[in-house]
Amino acid sequence: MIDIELINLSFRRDGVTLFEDVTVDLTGSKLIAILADTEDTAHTLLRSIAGFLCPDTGEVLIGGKSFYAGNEEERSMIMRRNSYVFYAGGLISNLSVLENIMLPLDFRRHQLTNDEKMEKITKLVSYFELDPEIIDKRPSQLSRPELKIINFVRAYVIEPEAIMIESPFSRLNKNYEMLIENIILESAFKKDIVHLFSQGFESDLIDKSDTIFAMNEGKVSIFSKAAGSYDEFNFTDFFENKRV
Amino acid sequence: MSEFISRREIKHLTYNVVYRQILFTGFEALSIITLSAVAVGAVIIIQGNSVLSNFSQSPMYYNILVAIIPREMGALLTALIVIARSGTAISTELGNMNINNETLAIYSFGISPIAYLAVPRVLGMTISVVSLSIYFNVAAFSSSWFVSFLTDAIIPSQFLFDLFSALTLTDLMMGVIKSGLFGFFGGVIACYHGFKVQSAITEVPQRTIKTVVNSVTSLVLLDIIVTAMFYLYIYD
Repeated sequence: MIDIELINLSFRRDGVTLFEDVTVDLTGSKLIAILADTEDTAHTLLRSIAGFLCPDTGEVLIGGKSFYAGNEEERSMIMRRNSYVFYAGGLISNLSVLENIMLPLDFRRHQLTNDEKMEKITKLVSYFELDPEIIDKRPSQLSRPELKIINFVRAYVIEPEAIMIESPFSRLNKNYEMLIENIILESAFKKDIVHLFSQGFESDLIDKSDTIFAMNEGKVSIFSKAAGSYDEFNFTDFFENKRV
Repeated sequence: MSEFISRREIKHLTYNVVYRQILFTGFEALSIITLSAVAVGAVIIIQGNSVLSNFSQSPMYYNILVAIIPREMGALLTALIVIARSGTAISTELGNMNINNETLAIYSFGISPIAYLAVPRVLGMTISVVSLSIYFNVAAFSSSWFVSFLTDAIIPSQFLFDLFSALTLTDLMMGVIKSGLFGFFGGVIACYHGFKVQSAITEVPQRTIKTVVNSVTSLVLLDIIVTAMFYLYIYD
């Protein structure tokens, strides 16, 4: 299981502090919820951890390696160990669904034969309860829930050490919400894949997380089962009093 | 070893994107390039005929054809058409990819968006503009001969003999160098503006306009510089 550590992470945008001095060692955490007064803030922290947005100060250590201090090649090697699920979009529009899923496989699992890659994709498509013929479609031919699910398929297909998910349940219907929740829980707690997700509303998945980042007006509080502080987090207070 | 395989995979994927870019920028533009080339070739002969014959300077046709087609219009008009057609398409496509998180998704795979998205497009555009400008020259010369045949009954062998007497390798090189530079800079400018789109869909048309304006400006400046260099250092 990959270790993630954040040191003095701060981020300001247009003069507004989104988060400041976030320092936390996430070693041992398998399911981490990032909650914020706005979803945008939560996504920004997640994207900083993923390596997409360089923070104003601080450092992200993934597997003990400094993310932002390294050069482009070192950063690329760290990124290849993780996957990312976007809130919306994320599928390359001029590629078919199959080519979209194949692209990270080609780069990260190049030792596999094409048959092995196809077998992995077919299994996952079935695991996510999708129509097998969906892989021949273009992203523009998919419904919103299907687009999101294909994002998940593409994230899991490379067997990453960590998955970062923006609003896991946005754009999904109730059936898919249950399916995704079960898959996330199974992958996190049975397969030891670290999951970090950002969210702006209450959900069962937050209850089942072992670490919670609660950000409100730039201040970050961390509640963790390992540190014994998890029960101090008050869901009702946070979601009812958050600044929207 | 694993790095070697990875680089091979990158080359393979990049090759596919270059191939698609050449297909779109080069092959699919053939009809408009043919039309423009035929028109330019024909117009030069018609205009030349009406002016030069008054001064008994008809053999000057060939010098004018060489000065206009391979040295100037072949590269310039081809590049303008490609910029209007493909430069704007590249800028819009990359801008929309930025908005839809597609560029970030590529980055998240550990792939450089510059290597995967920009390099093949710039390469495809450069190859396409060079190839199209050579095609433009051939089409324009063919059209010139056809009009000459209709007006003055000039047979192909005579036309080719006179044309090749006026045409030098330097003339062809000038066209190739210009078209290579126009394609390269047009591609770079289109990619730059595409990547500059941040998050709002309204930025896409603004960046597309900037692509056209900046590309045409750089194209005209490059044309002046290369032409001046040739006349200063090579033709003299």
